Amino acid sequence: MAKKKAKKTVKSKISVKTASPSQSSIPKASLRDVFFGDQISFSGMNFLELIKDSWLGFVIALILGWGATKIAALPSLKWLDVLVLAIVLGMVVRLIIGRFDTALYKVLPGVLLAQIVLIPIGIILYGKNLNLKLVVSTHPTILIQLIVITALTYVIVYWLAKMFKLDEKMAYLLGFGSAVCGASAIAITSPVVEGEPDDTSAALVTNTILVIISLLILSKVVVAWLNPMEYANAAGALLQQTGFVKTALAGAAKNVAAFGMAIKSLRVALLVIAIPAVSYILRKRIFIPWYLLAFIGFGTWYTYGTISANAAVVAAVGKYGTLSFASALAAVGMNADITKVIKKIWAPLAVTVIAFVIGIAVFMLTNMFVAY
Amino acid sequence: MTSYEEVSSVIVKKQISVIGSEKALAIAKSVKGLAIDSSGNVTSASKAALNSLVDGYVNIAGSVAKMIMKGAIAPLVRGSNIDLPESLK
Repeated sequence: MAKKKAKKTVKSKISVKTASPSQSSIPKASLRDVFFGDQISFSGMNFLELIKDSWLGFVIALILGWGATKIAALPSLKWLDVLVLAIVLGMVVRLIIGRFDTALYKVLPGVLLAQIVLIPIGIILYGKNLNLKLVVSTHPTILIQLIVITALTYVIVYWLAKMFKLDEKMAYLLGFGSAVCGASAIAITSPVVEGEPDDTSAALVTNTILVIISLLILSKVVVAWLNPMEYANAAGALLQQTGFVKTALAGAAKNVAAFGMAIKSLRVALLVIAIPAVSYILRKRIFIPWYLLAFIGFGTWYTYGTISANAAVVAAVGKYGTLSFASALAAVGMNADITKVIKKIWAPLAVTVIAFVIGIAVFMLTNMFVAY
Repeated sequence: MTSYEEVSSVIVKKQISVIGSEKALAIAKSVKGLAIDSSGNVTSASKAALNSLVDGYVNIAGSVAKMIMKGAIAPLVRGSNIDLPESLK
């Protein structure tokens, strides 16, 4: 149907050869380009038309995001990451409506708008996890070890992804997901690397299977060689997704669980450096997304300001941040094809599991230099 | 000067990241006067073909598609004297 429509709209068959892309030059980047780059443009926008086009998909994304937060809050499913659940719910809905072109195109504008609006909100509010006091108070050897493991994991995932002939954007998504903080890192990275919906969904599903395997390896095998403090450090430095880190710590390191969670949250801070770096590699120009600055600003305010002392504010930030992210990822799922996603996860899974095993080896080697 | 090929390439690549390569490339390939490779690089285009390309994406994703496309080409066309179709102005 789309093909027919596109054909219908062709108004001329004239094909004028103009200069090839290499012959012309991209204008010098302005400050606006550095912070807003190729983000959406509202100029000349008819907002009534926008609402009419997109309300349905947007509302469905919100409902799915809200549903995911409720399901993930069930006691028996506390280990499950709400973002992963949201994207799976989105893919299931897409499987149903994808059979009918009319229904799919009715919700598509809202699905796209939900990602455009809600991902930045989710990222900014995720700044509450950017605990800057923790960064400055952590023992330097632990911090150095964490940076080494995170950077190496990222490089190994990227290198293995290239060996497995995976797409470059997929390599970045997997690298961030494995090295930094799992599902949230993938959600934050996706708009920067402009990953396809199927790739973002596959990276998230892969990350969840990876973390299940990693949890088993860590809690059944590696734990035997480490004391509780070391094990908490390993769980915080190597595992992804907060729910799984908590599960790992609840066993052998329940008395030092707070330390493990602190290590996990330190990895979030590394996004601040990694995202602009990757963005520069991909675009060959400086692009620091405005919402990354807002994420840092909010994180700083949350760390040093008084708002984190207000329980109601803390609860609201957590609730609406999660709802925004979950709804945005439900929208990503509604734009993805679950059958293709399933086919896409196996090579990335091999890449990330190998990287995890190497990560354990690096942890063991560097652990002897760490002062606890 | 920015060319129609460059603008079209940016739009197709943006749409690949938004709606996926299968749909984005199918729409682009159905536009007469537009030559494109499998990565979304447009090698031949005209103002009319660019206009049809934009219409193709607007047909499936409405005004949101237009916002996305205008944003995507903004760094490229800023300061350029390319004659864009009305839908991209």
